[in-house]
Amino acid sequence: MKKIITKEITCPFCPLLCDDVNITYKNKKFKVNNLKNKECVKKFESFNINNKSSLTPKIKNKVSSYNDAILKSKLLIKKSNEIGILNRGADVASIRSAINLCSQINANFDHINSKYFFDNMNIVQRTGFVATTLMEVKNRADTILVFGNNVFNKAPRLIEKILAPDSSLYTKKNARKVFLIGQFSQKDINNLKKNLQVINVKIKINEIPKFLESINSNINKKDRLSKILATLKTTLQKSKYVTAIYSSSDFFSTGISGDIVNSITQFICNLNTTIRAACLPIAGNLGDASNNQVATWLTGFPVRFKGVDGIFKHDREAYDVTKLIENREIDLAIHLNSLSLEKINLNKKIKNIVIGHPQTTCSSPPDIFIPVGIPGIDSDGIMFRTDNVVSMPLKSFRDLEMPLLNQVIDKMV
Amino acid sequence: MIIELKNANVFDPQNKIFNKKKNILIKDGKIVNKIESNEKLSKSINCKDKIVMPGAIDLHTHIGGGKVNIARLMFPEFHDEFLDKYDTTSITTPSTLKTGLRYIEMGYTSCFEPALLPINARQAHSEMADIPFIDKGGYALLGNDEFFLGLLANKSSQSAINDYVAFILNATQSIGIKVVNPGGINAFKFNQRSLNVDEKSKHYNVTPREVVTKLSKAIYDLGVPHPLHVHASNLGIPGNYLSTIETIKAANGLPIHVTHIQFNSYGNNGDKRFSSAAVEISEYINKVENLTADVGQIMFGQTVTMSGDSMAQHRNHSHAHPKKWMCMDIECDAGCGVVPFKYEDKNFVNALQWAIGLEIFLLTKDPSKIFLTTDHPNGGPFTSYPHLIKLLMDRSFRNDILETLPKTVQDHTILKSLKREYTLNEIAIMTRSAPAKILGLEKKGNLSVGSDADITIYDKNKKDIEEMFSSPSMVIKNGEIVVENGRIKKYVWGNTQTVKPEYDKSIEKNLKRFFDKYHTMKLENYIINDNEMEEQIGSAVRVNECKYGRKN
Repeated sequence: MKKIITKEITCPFCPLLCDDVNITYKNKKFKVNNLKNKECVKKFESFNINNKSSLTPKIKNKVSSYNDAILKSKLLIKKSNEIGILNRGADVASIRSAINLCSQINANFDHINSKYFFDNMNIVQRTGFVATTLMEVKNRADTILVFGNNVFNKAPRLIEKILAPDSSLYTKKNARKVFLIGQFSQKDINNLKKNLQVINVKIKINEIPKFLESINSNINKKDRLSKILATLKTTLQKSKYVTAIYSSSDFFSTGISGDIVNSITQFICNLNTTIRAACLPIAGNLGDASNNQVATWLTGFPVRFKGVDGIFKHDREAYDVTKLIENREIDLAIHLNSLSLEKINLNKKIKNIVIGHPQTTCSSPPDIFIPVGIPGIDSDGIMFRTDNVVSMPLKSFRDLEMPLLNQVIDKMV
Repeated sequence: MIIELKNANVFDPQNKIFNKKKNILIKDGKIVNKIESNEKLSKSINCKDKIVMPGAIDLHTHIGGGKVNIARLMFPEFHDEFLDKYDTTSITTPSTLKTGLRYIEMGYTSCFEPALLPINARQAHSEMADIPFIDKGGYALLGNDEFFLGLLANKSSQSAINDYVAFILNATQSIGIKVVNPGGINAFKFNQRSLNVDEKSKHYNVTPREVVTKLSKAIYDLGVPHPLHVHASNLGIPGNYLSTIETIKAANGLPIHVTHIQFNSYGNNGDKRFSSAAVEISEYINKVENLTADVGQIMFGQTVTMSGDSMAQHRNHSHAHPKKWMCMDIECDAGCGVVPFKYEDKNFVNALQWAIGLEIFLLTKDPSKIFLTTDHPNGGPFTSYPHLIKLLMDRSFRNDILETLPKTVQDHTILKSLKREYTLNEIAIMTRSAPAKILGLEKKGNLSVGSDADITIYDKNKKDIEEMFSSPSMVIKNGEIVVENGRIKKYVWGNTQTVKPEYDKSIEKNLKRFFDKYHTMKLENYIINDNEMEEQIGSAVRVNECKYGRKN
């Protein structure tokens, strides 16, 4: 087979959707050529076909044709009383199709990450919010507050591309100050210290609201935290553009994630009375930003809704498809997975249809498995980045002669 | 399919046909003058008691893009759970499907999103592609982006600016260029809280006047039909009519369209320091040859304001009702702000805003210079257009409402003294032929042979004009009957209307350098080509001619 090199591919596997990934594709294998970040390379290349890949549809774990698998799926849908569609990662075209299916079959619809989204959604629906985007941060932010513990794992090239870029319009290299507020790994701290002025504010995650509150109170004590607070206060007063970066899923285990997100966003709102400041939430993993955008323009709600005889109803609790599966409140789960490598835990006591990429793994064989291509590898497509503003074109470079997720879903309607 | 509309009472202003009995033939989506002898009519419709007009065109309505989706998300409490079919979005921020349904049910067949952020163009087009029935298009926002301001600050040639403007129109699949608070949104990112027309921005040392001058010249030179679409400086600020006039002057006599001009027609006289400057503004519209405007009429009730003017939206967030809001700085490109607002008829300022909009409509003599908009949803939802038409056509109806407003408002407006009542001809001009003309849509807004068969048929016997415009008895889109007796009969999908002026491709070398250094995406991925529009985004492109060609 002739060697093919495709440049500037968009990587669909993290919220940043970097479009500078240089791929060599040869003999149905691809290799990432240019990324320094080994985690990104490993993740991207793990979608290569290997001897464990599932390249044919299966009914009850036996190989079938696409036609039979789709016909059997339609039959299961027809026989089911209550259906849940769980999006585990899809592009815009597939989300459009899935919502259409949801409407046609009166299904519950949800995204696997939706529980992490509600804290940010609450801010938009209840208070004030000043947000920003990657390019603004790259070029404008002189002070960056990073909250949490895991942001850099979720967006592995955030430092390289946004926090410490080679070029920036308004901030000089090494002049940018970064406050790490929470519990960051030494690896993250070291990575940042290579190019930036870093102050590590090691506090428990659930102490973030109290910490932000105390910035505006009188700081008289001489302990380490008080000194940091004083430094932060002075830095903020001199700053021109402050950015708060966080991922609400980092706060989830505290049980007060909503309070933490609220404290950060309101702190940023207040800064805007005298200087400019904005938040950059990191989300968009497994296509959740794409899911939320498309679902919102089609139904008015980003997640957790149900098609009911031609209308969509929304309820955060009632249409939580993960819970509906756990509690067996549905008798058929349709899992859509064109992006995730995480093993899908199936509830064997209900029927399961998994429409997923060839590397999809499940805790047990589903009733029906239908392999589909990956957007950005096997098909062109569109996905939304973490900032919810920029949507990136995905380009295909591999041909597995496999249908796409949206094409399979459309045939089930 | 061949359809005949027989004995129709036709209003077709572009062809100077006003309430004239005519037959109209439709074949293959177009209006034709005859059919072949071997062809048979599929349907003949008796239009003896019908008024027939071209499909209406809304040239300024926020129906797609990030800010619209933020607003949809922001108001779960306003979502209609039971009143409306299909989805549960509110009337001010309908879903894509509901947007299409409501527009086509009112006889609107083409609508234009006026704030298409270049960096957000892919989303805006994807969203609009999911709106059924209507043709759509967008005006790309320029004038606050770093690349353009850099060109201005470096005193780049007009030719270079023209190339950049043409590149943006092509790359974002837009039909026009809009500037919002020229230079002000960028200045806000540098913490400037206001920027007057001749005030220099702190970082770029550029004035809003320069921005408007250069952009309007670029549009003229490139032959883009739609004039620069301007959301002027100082929106909503008492006394802003003076800066509005200065903004218009910045075009140096070249075509310019001032949008939602009601919000920029305020004086600061009287004990409340807020007054109408509709007379001054209307006189100016009447006087200046190349000036057009849409009104942005406000309607009483709850709505949500959404704008690229993050400077103004942040300033106004304390007026949010309910108390929630969002502002955003976007990709060194633009900004946005979403702030809910309730226009109260007992509130002096809101009631006077209502009167100011109507004064502008009624004082502007030529209906082809003023357009019927509410700046949906900023002044009110587009579904209020039939009510607005009644306000314009029925003086007693208008005055009855005026009587219910606070006495202080009645003392501050000349509305009661304005005897003018718009005619059906004038409504047809301002909602059909005139918007088509200034958008360069030769095949729309008229019933000429060869034009698109986008046609609205109203019931002449309906006594109430609001009812008549709310629910046409038939709507034909691309030659297909899509609404009949007020009910949806068939779903069809419109195209995306664009222009593609020529330009010197060498600008892309500079842009590529800029993108590689400062952007977070590659230039190649920023550009949306026709194939992506059709295959991924889901809307075919129709290119309108830039007639005059490049002059610089």
